[in-house]
Parts: sequence; structure tokens; C-alpha cells
Amino acid sequence: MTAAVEARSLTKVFERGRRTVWQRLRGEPDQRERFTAVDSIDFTVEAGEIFGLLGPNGAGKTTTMKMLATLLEPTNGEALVLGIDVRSQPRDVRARIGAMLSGERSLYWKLTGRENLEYFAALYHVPPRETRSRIDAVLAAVKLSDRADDYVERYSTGMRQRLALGRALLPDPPLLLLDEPTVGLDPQAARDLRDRVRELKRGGRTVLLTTHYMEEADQLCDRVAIIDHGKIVALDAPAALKRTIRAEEVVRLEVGLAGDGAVLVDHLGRQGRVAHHDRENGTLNVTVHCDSARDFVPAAFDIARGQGATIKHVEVVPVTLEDVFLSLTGRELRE
Amino acid sequence: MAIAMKDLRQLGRYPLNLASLVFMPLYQGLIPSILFGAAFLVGGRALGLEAAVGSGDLAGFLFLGAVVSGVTASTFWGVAFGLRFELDAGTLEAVWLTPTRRDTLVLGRALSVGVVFLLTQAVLLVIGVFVFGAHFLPTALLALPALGLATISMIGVAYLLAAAVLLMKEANFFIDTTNFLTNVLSGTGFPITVLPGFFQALALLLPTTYALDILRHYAIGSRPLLDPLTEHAILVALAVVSFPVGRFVFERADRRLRRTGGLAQY
Repeated sequence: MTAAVEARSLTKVFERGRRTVWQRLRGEPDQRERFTAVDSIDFTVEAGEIFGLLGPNGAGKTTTMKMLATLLEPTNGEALVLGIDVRSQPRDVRARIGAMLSGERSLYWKLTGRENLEYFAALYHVPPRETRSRIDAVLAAVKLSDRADDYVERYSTGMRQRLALGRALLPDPPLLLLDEPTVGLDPQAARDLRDRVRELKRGGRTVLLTTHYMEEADQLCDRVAIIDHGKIVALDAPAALKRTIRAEEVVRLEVGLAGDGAVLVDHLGRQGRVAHHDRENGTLNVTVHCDSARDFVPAAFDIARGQGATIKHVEVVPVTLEDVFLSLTGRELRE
Repeated sequence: MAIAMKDLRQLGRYPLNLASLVFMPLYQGLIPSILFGAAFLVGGRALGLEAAVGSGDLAGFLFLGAVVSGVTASTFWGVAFGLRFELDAGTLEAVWLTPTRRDTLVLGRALSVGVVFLLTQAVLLVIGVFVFGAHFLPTALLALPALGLATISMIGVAYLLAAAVLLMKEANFFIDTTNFLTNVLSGTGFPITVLPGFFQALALLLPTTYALDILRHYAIGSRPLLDPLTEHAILVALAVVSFPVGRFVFERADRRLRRTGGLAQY
């Protein structure tokens, strides 16, 4: 079976600044700064899976999606979408995929939901005799049948996101590219959209999505590629990624103390693995990976007391993809 | 057709905008020009205009100028800047994600703008005849092929402008200035023979100059700049050149956007 997406050494380099016509005419060397947004990444999305690109803002997720959707030309490397080369056959790729890259802003707010879909159905070359039934099916799939004839400007943000998802379904694509599909949605609307995405998978479609919400990647994706500074730093099923932490629990401490806390962190590190620490307004925040919080927390109180410090808050949480990202990059996803 | 339908639906949601397309040329250009010209009438006749172009029908002269001014405004603002508007609004990316050819999207906009243009110009000409006393000869219909040829050329120009506005950060000023210059050089408000020599030469490069000249010749009996047959031949040549050149440049601009990522820089 052909993989839904194959990226090999996929690279995108942007130039910063401008080279003036005068500089071109004079044949001056191009001295613009180069910025590598996507740095030679390799991954394969298998047919029928939900595959997530997880990373902080600016990690290169959207640039990757845009190259796969043929909105951007790769600088180097190769990408096959449903077996079609994005560089040499971009229109063929666009005819086979559904993509939702910019959400609610990508809709015509002065048209109704149905009118939006009619317009895009024509652009997707849906046969005219099928247009009505296809639109009705799409509206039902995204639970907007009862609001189809309202202007989009009267929709909530969640409804607009669902309509944008519906638009991506118009060509009945085997592969969907969803860029941050739940960003800006309230929890209920986000949950609702995730349910729609799960239904798409149950319907046999492949979904490639980007997110910077670790819970979303964890709950929704069969496999996740963690991306940072344009590189994939880990790729596996969420459970397998979490096992790489080699800890059962994560303990987050807020410690009040006068000094820089270096000795305290050193002592804590003997009881567990200190994944992260920083100081903020006189408080030392420490994240420790350990096998048992039941053993670690009392020891941490003893260490703090010995250093003349006070533990102000303790939080014990299971290992998440956030911790995986932290252990791989030394930074938090939200930074 | 779908693009035109979408544009017309959207325009229909703003009825005052639709009305302004008719009345703005009236109060911004035509009425002041007609009143100003009326101050120089001698015995009710525009003698200077008659000497310059062979017809003293000031209202007819200006209203026909407004028709061609409408063609340029539709091309510059409706087609080219319309794409920029979609880029800024965030809808262009979604449209670009479909398999429809990108140059087809320009043609679609041209169709919708053309429909609006025909409707508004029809109303404007009726106002010209019944309110301002313009007289148009039935032979005006003979100018339709020239207007058709000029339209093809202007679609080529629209491709060029669309390419420019998609690549530029400040497209508004560019469109405003080039629209103004095209109107001035085409002689929409005065005979181009009053322009300085260099500008006259530039005017003779524009399809709108010939289309307007032929239109005035057939509609109000003005004296043409060149033999009408020659003017038609020039219009054919301009259409043959500008349409493919415009498409080529637009495709290059699209390619550049795909390289630089400019499509999302709204």
C-alpha cells in the first residue's frame, strides 16, 4: 500500500530582508540572511492513521504542511503526497487532498455556510449534479446542517472551524491536512472538532495534523513527530514516546528560597532526574522525573528544609508529551 | 462562473456599495467636469472641444470617457486589487489550495467585474442621456469589437497588475497611481491632443486610448486619432501581446510566492 505522505530530507529555507532591483542590476552578491524553517526532515504517514506534528510555535510545523499542500516549494528534498510529487505535480496533489490551514479567516463571512461550500465545490471540480448531495453530506459530517443557510459572520469560532473542515472534505479526499485545527477554540468546541477528526479516521481517511497542544497529540494521534527548530527530534506512538522518559511520574515543585538554589537542585537530582529548573520572582520551579512520587516528595521536603528553603507547592502528574519535549529540548512547549 | 457568482453574491450583500459604483463616477468626475466645461460654452456649444475632436457634445464626450474610466477601474481595483483583498482577508490561501488553475481565478474575477461594469455603465449612460442631454448615435454599436479587444488587453494588464499587487507590500498606492495615470493618458476627461508630446506617445501604447477613440468616433461622431481600421489593428496587436505576457508574468509571480511564502504574509 502506498504511504499517504512520504517526506525525505524535506527542507525549506527562507531569505530574510530584501534584495533591491538596484543590487540585482549591479550584480551585487546576495547577502540576505538565510533562515532554515524546516531542516531536512524525514517521515512517513501511513494510510489510515492520524499522524501529528507536535511542536512549539515557530518549530516548522506549518511550513511543512504548506509544502505538502503545495503552497510552498521545498528548497531541498522530496515529498510525495498519495504517491504524487508535490514539486512536479502540485495541481494533482491539490486535487486529491483536503486541507484546512488557516481556519476561520479562510471563509467568506458575508456568504452563508452553504454558499461558501458551493463556491469551493466548484473550485474543487465537484461534478455539478453531485454538488448538492456532497454539500449536504459534508454539512451533516461537521454538524452544521441546521445553520447551513446562516451567514458565516453569525457563526461561532468553533462553527467556522468546522465549516473550514467541511470545506476540506468537499473533494472526498483520502488524506486531510489540518494545521492547528483547534487553536483558539473553547474546550467544548475543541473536543467537538477532535470527535469529528476521529470520525474521519473511522471513515478510512488519513489525517496529518499539526498542534502545539500535547493533550491533543496524545489523545488523537496514532503517531507523533516532535518537531523543534525545523528538525524532528522524536517520532513514535505517544505511549512509546512517554516511555522514553524512563520515569513513572513527574513532580513539579515551587520552592521559596533566598539563594540561587544550585545546591538544592543538585540534592534533588540525587533523588530523581531534574528535567527543568528556573527561578521566577524568588521562587525556584523544579520539574523532576522519578519512579515514585510517594518516595520522592518526602525526600524533597527534607532536602528543602536542610537548605533553609520552603516548598510552597507540589504537583504530581503522570508523564506527558510535554515532558518528552522537555527532556529532548530542555524547553517547554509553551516557551 | 462560480467565482463570478461568489463575487456577485458578496456584492449583493452590500447594496450601498453597488449604488456607489454608479454614483461615485458621477459626483467625483463627471458632474464637476460637465459644470466646469459648461462655464466655457459659447452659445451652448463647446467650440474648443469641437475644434479639437470634431464634436461639441461635451456630455457625450465625458460620459464615454467615464465608460473607459470604468474599464480601467474595474481592471485595476476589481480584478487586480480584488486578489490582494482576498490575500489580506486570508481567503486567498484557501482558494489557492484548490486544484483550480490560479490564472482561472483572475479570469473569474474579470467576469464578475465585467457583469457589474455592464450594469453600472448602462445606468450611467441612461443618466447621461436623460439628465445631462448626451446624444449617442446608433453607430455606437460598431465600437463593440474595439471594446472587446480592449477588454482582452486589459485582462492581460490585470494579470500583470495582479502579479504586482501579490508581490508588493503596499499595493494600494501602486494601484491608485497607475489607475490615475491610465485614465489621464487614455483621455477620459479631455482629448489626448492636449497632453505634452511625451505623454501623447505613452498614451498611444494603451489599448484604452484606441478603444475610447473608436467609441467616441462611432457614438458622437468625433474625429479619430488614426484611421479606425488602423486603430482596430493596433488593438488586435496589443491584445495578442498583453494577454500572454500578462499570464506569463502572473505565473512567475505565483511561482515566486510559492518560493518565498508571501501568500501568508497578510
